[in-house]
Amino acid sequence: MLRNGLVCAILLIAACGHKTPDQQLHEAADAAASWSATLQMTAETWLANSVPRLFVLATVDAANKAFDQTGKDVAQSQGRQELRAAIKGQLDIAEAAAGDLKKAIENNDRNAVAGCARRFAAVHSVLQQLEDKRK
Amino acid sequence: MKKAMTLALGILTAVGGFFDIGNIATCVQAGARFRYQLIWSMVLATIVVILLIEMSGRFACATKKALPDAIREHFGFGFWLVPFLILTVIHILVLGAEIGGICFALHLLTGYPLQVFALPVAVLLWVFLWRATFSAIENSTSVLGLITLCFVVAAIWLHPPTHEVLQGALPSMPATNPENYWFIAVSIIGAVIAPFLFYFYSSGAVEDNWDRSYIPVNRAVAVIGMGFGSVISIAAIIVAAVVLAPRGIRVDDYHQAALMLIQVFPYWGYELFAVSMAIACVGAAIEVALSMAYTFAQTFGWNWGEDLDPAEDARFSLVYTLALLGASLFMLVGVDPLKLTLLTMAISAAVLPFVAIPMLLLMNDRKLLRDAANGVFSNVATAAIVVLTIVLAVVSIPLMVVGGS
Repeated sequence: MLRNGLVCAILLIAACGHKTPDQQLHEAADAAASWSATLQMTAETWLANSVPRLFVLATVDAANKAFDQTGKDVAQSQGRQELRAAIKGQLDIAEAAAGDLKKAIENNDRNAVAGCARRFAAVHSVLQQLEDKRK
Repeated sequence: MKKAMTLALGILTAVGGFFDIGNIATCVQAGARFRYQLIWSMVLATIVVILLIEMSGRFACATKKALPDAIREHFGFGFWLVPFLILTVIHILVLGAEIGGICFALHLLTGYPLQVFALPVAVLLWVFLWRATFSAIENSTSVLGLITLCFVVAAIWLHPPTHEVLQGALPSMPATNPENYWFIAVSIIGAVIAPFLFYFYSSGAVEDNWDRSYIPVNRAVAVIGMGFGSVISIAAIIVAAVVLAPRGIRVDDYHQAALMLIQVFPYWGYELFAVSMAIACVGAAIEVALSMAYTFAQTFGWNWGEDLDPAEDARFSLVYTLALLGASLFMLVGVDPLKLTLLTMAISAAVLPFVAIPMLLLMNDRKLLRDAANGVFSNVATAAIVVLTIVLAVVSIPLMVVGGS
């Protein structure tokens, strides 16, 4: 009985683990939205003198790696074209904003950092709307 | 008076030792992704760990033997060999994850890459182990470990919705991402019921010369100490749920977790997170390195004891030296510390039966334990724990494949 239960559990996990291309795209969008929100919060906390400059730069690097990976996943996806285009568009904006945030931090330009935070908020909001539509 | 001190120190040790890199990673992920919904897995893991810690301590008090020593003697070397080899791999992986946590905390504080710190951290841990006595290790890591109470302060300060927190203490089905939900639930349990904890605890009880008169003290340490550790971990879930989840930040990298205390402590929350992480990981790294040395020495019948001079137990000292060196390689070659931690927690959950079953069989040996052997309640709990560990062992790796990010 225990053995049958365990086999059922594994089969259930395998069934839950199966994802359609669109579901995979939404997961990619979710990851990108999370990193956009992270960069927004990082920029805001830097403006409030709560985190050091080097932390912001390291977080931007980590986010860029995640955006790159998400970009690759989206490019290889078999999901709907319009969904892929929508995510790709937001990824491009986020990557550009991340580059600008790095420059703004290096130049200690507080206005530019605040602008980047707003851009990340906008990207997060659009990606979140895509996620809400799925739900 | 001495027993009261032991109780206080034991509780402090548990507070310091319970909350490590595995707890930080899994609790922060749980709170950020599923808010309060996974508190139940921490509650369940705490009940199980209290029972197992109490049993391993009671065993050491009654027999004056640590668990690896007793399992080898009782079941024979052949029986013990497979769990021993599996545990060796787990020890190295957990030690690598803890060193990764220390390196990441230093990266947060200095901005230098993680790789820079891998070998210096291993050397500093080694110097501490080489020079310090068991009580010095116990006292310093446990008192410093109290800094992790900042998570509790933050959780209270943030005023989480009480009914949602209480609801989270009961198991529920997730609205989205079930595979990820169950993966984190299993990882939380794997992080709390760490296999090394029982071997370290029973060996420590032998080092501290606990006898039968310490059985009540052991029970209090298990319940209060592990309870405190659990409160800190639940607080970390709550802080992540209040600060990170509403912003849509799910934790795929420790940089994201570093932001969680800033809302409560605007000027030093970042540093507080880094220092808490470093201290929690230093305490755990020392425990894991010692646990590995204890297990090797007791398996092969070598001299062992952190209070002995390294010249008196050279092979014991050699094991933790090599373990620290080997485990530091993960960071040196650039392995992601969060991914290493989550992988380690899933594997820890998978090997739990190898740790739990021999220990639970030993606890029923009335010749060895006499009146300290398990009673009816302990054996019912034991049966439930064995079933739980077998289920975890079966589902943890498939869940890691489909639910790990």
